[in-house]
Amino acid sequence: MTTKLRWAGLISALGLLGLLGLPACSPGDEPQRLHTTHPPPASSGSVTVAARIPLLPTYPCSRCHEDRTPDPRERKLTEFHTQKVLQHGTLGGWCYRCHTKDNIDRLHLQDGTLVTFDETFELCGSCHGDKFRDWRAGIHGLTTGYWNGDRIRRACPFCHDPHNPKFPAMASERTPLRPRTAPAGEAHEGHQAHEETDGEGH
Amino acid sequence: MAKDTESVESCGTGCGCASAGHASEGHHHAHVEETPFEARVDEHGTRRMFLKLAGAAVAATAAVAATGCGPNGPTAAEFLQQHYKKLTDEDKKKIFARIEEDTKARTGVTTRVNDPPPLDGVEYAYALNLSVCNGNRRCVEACARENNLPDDPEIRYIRVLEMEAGSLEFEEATPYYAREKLPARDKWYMPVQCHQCDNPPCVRACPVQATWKEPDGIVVVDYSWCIGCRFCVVACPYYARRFNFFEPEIPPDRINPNQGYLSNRPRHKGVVEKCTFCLHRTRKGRMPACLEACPTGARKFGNLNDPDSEIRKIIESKRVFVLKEDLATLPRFYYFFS
Repeated sequence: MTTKLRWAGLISALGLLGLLGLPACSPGDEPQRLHTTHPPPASSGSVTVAARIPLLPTYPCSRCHEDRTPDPRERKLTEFHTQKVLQHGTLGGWCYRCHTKDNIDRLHLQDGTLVTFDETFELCGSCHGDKFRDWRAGIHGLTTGYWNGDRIRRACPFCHDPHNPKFPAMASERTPLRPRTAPAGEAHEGHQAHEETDGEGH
Repeated sequence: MAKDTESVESCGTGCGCASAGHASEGHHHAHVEETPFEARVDEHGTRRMFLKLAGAAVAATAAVAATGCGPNGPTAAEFLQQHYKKLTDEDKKKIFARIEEDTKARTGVTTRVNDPPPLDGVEYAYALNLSVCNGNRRCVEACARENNLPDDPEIRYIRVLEMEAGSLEFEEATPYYAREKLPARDKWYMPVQCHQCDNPPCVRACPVQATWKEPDGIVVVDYSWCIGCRFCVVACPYYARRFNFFEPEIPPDRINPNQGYLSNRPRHKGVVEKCTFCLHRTRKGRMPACLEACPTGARKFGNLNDPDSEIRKIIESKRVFVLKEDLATLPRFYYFFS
C-alpha cells in the first residue's frame, strides 16, 4: 500500500512539473532567448547599447527584399550592395549565414534564434567569445556617458564592418611641433638645431 | 553607488591615504620626514602677509606693471591673490568672476569658471589598452580643445610615442610621426600623459606648494600661485608637465567656455600646467575628453574604489602595468594588453 502511494505521489508530482514547465518552453512569436547577453547594468548606472537601426540607410531590408527570391549562391553583386566586400573568415552560406532568408529584417544565431540589427553583439559574440566577454564588462569597445551614471556602449558594427571586420586604418592627426625656444616671429629658425638635439623619449 | 568599504580605508602605512585595496599591495610610500602640505602653505601665507604689511606688495604691484607683462599677463589682483587652499567661498566667487571678466575683455568670449570639489570616496584611475591603440592622436587634439591648449606655441598634454614592434625602448621612440595609414607596419603606439601618481615627485619638488594631490588622486596646479621655476617639470619622470614659455594664444572660437579653476581656465606665460583627467568634467561624472574622442575604445576611466567599475575589472582581469614602476611613483594610469 505504501509503495503504491509513493508511486502515485511521484507520478502526480511529475504531472505537476509538466504542467508548470511545458508552457514555459513553448515558442512564442519570436523564438525565446536561452539567456540574455545584454551587458549588465553597472552598480552606478544603466548601460545602454547604442541603437544601430536608425543608422542603417537601407533598413528595413524587407522594403526591397520581399519582392525578391533569396539566392544563397556566392556571386559578384552588380545591382545592389556593390560596395560590400565579404572578408570575414570562410562563411558557408554567404549572406544567409547571418542574414535570415525568410525574415530579412532579422539576423540569426547559429542555433536559429533571430536577433534584430540592434542586437548584433549576440551574433558576433557567438563566435568571438573572448572579445564579447570583455565588451560586456566594458573593457572592449567605446563607452561614453557618465563613469558614475548611465552610459552608452557601442556594439560591434560601430567600429567593425561585419562584412570586413578588421579595424580600418586611419591617418594620424596633426603632428606635434618640436619644442621651440624663440618667440613666434623667429620661431622656425631654431628648428634645425632641435632636430639633432631633441631628446624625444622618456 | 556601491563602494568597497575595505578599499576606502587608509592604506595602513599611517599616511592617511585612501588607497584601493589591490593597489595597496606593494604600496611602498617613500616616507620622507617633511612638513605637512597645509603647514607649508600656512608658512607661506604668513610670509606673504608680512610682505603685504611691509608694503612690499605695493612695490610688487609696481614691478608687475613695470615688467610689461602686458594686457595678457597676471593682473595685480591675481598677483596678490591667496593660495588656493586658503581661499574662502567668497574669495573664490570674486576670483572666478574676475577671470571670467578678464577672458571676456581679452577675447570677447563668455566663459564660466567653476571649481567642482572632489567626490567623496572616489579615487580615479585610467587604463589604456595598448592592444587596440593605433596612434591616431584624436585624443591629443580633443584634449587640446577641451583644455584650451594653444597651437602655437604648441602645448599638448598627451604624447603618443611610436615604437618598434617588440621593443619598449623609449630612447628610440618618437612622438613626431605623421602617417596616412595607422597603425604602421611593425610599430606600436603608447600614449603618455600625467599619471596622477599617488606618490608624486612633482609635488615634492615644488618650493611654493603651487601643486598638490587632491583627495580623489588628481594632481593639480594653482596657476595663480605657480612661480614658474619648473622644478616639477624636471621632477616628473613621465615628461607630463608643460611650461608656458610664451603667452598662450587661443583663437576665440576655440575657447572652451566650461572652465575649471584647477584645470582648463586661462593660463599665463610663465606657469606650468598638466593633464588633470579633465577634472571639470570628471568630477561631474563625465568621461575625460580624450576617452570620448578615442575611435578605438582604448581608453577606460573610472572609480578605483568601486569594485564594479570597468577600471577595477580591467585591473583584476587583465595584464596591467604602470610605467617606470621601479620609481615608486604609484601611477593611477595603467596600461594593459587585451
